[in-house]
Amino acid sequence: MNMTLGRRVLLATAAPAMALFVALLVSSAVLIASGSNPLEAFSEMVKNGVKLEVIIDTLNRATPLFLSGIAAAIGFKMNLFNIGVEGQYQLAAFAAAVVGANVVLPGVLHVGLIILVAMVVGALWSGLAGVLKTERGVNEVIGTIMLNYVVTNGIIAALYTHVIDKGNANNAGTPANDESGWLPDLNGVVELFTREIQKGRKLTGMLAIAIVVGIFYHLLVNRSRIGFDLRASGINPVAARAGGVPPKRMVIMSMLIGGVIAGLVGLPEIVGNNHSYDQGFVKGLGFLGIGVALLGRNKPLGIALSALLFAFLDSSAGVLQFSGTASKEIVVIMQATILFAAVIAYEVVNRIRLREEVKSASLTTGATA
Amino acid sequence: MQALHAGRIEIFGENIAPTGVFGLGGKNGMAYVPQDRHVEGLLLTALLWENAALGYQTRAPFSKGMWIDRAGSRTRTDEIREAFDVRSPNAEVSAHALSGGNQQKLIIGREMTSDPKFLIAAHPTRGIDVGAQSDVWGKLRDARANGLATMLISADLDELIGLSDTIMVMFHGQLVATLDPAEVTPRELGKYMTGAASMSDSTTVPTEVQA
Repeated sequence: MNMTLGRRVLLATAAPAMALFVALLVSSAVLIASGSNPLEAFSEMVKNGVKLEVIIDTLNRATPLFLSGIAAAIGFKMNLFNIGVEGQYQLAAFAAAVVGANVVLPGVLHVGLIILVAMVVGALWSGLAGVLKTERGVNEVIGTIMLNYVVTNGIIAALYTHVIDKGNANNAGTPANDESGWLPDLNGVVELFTREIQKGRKLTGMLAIAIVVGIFYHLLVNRSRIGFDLRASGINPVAARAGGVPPKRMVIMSMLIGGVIAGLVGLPEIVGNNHSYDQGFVKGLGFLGIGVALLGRNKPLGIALSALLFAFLDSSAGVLQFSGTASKEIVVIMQATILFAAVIAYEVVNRIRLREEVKSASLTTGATA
Repeated sequence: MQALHAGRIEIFGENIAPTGVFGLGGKNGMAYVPQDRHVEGLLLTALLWENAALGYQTRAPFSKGMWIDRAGSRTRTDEIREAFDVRSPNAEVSAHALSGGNQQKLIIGREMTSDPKFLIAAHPTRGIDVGAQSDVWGKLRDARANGLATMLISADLDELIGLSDTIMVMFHGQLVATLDPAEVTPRELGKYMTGAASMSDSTTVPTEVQA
């Protein structure tokens, strides 16, 4: 009674599909209760969502969400609840913006330096939480939460007045990078297949980097020896240690790799949109990434799909309000119910799968494959 | 398992104390069947081939350079499943799905197929069914016949008497007796184990155990 491929695919997709369905039901109920027509709202979202410009918005939103999800997932694979991506990406973006604004370098080197600074700063800040855990026994949840506050209310707040561009009183921020520090957008690539992108929308070049990160994550976790050690240490640290995997080194390593990727999360702003870190800098991506990783089951493709789903919902918020079909908060309710339902559905599916495995193993009479 | 504070552990003249018994990854020819398979031996939610690779993931056929060799791992796992009668549909089920006896046979297979020079088997048949127990005993006898130095740690007196060449009894951290399994009775062995008797000539733990 081997599990067929079809059954595996069914089990893998059943949970997110169920979660989406439950989320639609719950948000319909909320919409009806608040006097809106759910069918109208959903059709408005879909109609809006297929417009080219909105697709670009969705991809631009999904890119940092995906990076943030991957950064969190590396910790989760090791059973490390790293919720410090929030602080890591903000500090990294801040440092990258400051360095980017104060160096003069030719094109590729300038962008490259900005990206490198972001990755290194992200890794150092994340690594700090790792060292606190391995050397002082500070739980990584506490350590990373505290370090988040140290970044946002401490370091950035303290340094901000020293690095801002005094000429721009309205939205004070770091001076904008020279054009050599900009990452080219991907509009040209998209326009090969469709019409011209209008309304000044630009598809962030970080999308290409995010795709590379996704492939890197897959190879690292599923194919490399380091990934094997990480997963082993996450599943059973004692057995992993007996199998030659030093647990402390694995904690530090996963925090460092997670930090490198967390450093990239805020870069679309720095190398793309504003070319600076200002008061409007996007916050909260680190926490959203945890949800994205959870929904995507720490798998690269899953994280990509859940980042796209969250981004689609985010980019639908506006149209619901403009068209007057529903209030924009409904998308947050949808995101929350999807997550709740997904966590429950994954657990249910997991139990079904385990039960089937036990049954199929006990029915095997010989070891002949 | 505890950290080593002093002394040497030699296997064929090579001191392995600096790296310890843990963290060997089989590199020093040391194989280890832990007393609690769920705590020290297995990654329960990982697949059988991943469990078969655990501890040996740094070498062929489980890896090539910095990459895990999935095909090689699966082939080796199938060989272990065949040779050690690990009853399972394939190498792609999680270790969780197997019965205790089959889990134990997987561990023994893993530890014995990577060409060890020295095997520590701690309570290798604890909590497994009679069929699996006799399989495990058979494998340990085969290993002994093939010249594998084996340290069997057990509280099962029949197992000790049936498998051992020499039995050493420890009580309160002291070596209290060295016995010949051909002559000793379970009752006599029990006396030494509980501290009711001791041999006066061997009251100190040897500082060097040589394989």
